[in-house]
Amino acid sequence: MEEFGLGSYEMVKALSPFPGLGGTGRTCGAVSGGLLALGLYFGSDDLLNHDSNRVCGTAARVFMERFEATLGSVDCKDIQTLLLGRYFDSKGGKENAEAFVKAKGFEKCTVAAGVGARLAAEIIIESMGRSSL
Amino acid sequence: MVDYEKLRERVEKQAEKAWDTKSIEGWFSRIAKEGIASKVDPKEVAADKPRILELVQRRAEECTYLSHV
Repeated sequence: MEEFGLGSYEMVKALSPFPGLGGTGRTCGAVSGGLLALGLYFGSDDLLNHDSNRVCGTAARVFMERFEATLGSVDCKDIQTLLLGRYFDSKGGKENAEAFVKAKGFEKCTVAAGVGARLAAEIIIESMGRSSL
Repeated sequence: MVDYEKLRERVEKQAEKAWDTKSIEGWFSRIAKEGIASKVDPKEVAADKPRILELVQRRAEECTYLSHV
């Protein structure tokens, strides 16, 4: 968001519960973050501006398709399995948490975050200088 | 289509990376204290696409790493 002058630190804070969509293993936090960035860029101050809403929806759809094409899924469980070899439930107890650290889960999951941010940035830059998305 | 080989290389690179935690913390503190800069020039961004994409990707990786370790 910083590179595009979008949002505020409040947005960063608000994303805190999103990784693995509340730790359930569902939607990856990189997807939530990417969509938020697109909303900040393409969204309108006027929620009744349907043209803007359509553009934002198109950007979101493009993002979802590209993310899934890159990582095979938008779900934390699937992406962890791809990147780490298995899924580590964040509520799976101390042994599970230790196994995640040992598997370098913190380091390896940054791949998904990088993919999501890069894809959102690509879509934003592609739209620059274009009359429609 | 998923490029498994490219992903595997990327995952291993991140796993072995020497994270500059102090530098990442400095950037994170600055954002928290000063907020996010004002609007940027779209023409400048578009003209500098490769560098900006690399920077965006790296910042997202660093932010994720720092907020979890």
